[in-house]
Amino acid sequence: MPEPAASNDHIERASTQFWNPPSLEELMTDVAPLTADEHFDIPDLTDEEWEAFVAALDE
Amino acid sequence: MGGVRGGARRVIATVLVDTNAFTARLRERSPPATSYAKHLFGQRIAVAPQTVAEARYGALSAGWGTARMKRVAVDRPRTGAAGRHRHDRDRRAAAQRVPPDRTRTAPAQPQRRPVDRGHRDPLEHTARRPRRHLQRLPTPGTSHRTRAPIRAPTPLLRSISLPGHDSPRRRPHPSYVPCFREEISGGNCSSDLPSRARMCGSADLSVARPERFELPTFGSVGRRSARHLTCKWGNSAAADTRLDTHLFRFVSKVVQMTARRYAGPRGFGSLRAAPTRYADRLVEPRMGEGV
Repeated sequence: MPEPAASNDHIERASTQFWNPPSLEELMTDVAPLTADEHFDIPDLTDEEWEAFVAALDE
Repeated sequence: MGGVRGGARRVIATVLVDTNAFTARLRERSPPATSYAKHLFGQRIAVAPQTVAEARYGALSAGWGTARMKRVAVDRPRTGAAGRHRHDRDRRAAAQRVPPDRTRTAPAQPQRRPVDRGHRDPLEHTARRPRRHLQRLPTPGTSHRTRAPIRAPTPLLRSISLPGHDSPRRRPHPSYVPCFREEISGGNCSSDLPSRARMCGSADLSVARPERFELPTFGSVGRRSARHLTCKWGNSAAADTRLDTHLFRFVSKVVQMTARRYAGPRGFGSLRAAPTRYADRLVEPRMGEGV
């Protein structure tokens, strides 16, 4: 029965990706390390908003 | 940090951060942020999809983002730097074509299947289609009660591809089982860590608890939270974009922790995988430790 795919390569690729997930090194190849001068603080976040956020995480 | 630090020959490791350690970076004057900083800087940061979902749930519950819509809209192009999914650009362009009011109010509707032009899931209509009893299982990203697809709220979550599916539009494999969290014990605990924190040197046990979850993609989000997310994601663009702006800048990669189900010495199951496949170590506060 022919597969309704553009090509057999598409099927094989999906199957291969599932049963052979990439290793950590492959996943993180293009990831740059976190540097000390990177800041992610939300500047205008009030204490009430932050406490509500933390409370939701602890739910 | 165990064997990671070696003076001038510092080895860059991958650090998997827990939700509390991850969100602490959004409030950098908080004590956990200061404590964890030295263990994160210089390392590659990774989070699990569950952590992203938990962080988003917290932001939505706290009502973030209602007053910052315009500013976030300006910041949004910056988020593309970390969203390396190859479909992100197309999705972003498609989202810009949709009127904002429709994105907020339109309910999830079953979509008509497009004509097969070779770009859909090749397994969808083949003999490899899941059996009927498997089709009754909730699919990741699908509401358990309504079976309606949950609209992916942000590029970050949309960029999380499921195992075997390079596009989230495709249906995930029915045997997909989430891995919730790597538990740790002992190992290379660094002496300069905060006293109440643990770091993973040798993860020996990780247990998936799928019975807790109706939304396997968002494993650690409880039943009530999942419904809450289902309801709120449709009209929470402001909170999503606001949080994403920061998440994207922080997280370089969302690690696929969901491809295998771990089974440790005390666990059970037939699928085993080496914990080091997914991360070198895990940064996680103890249970009950707030941010």
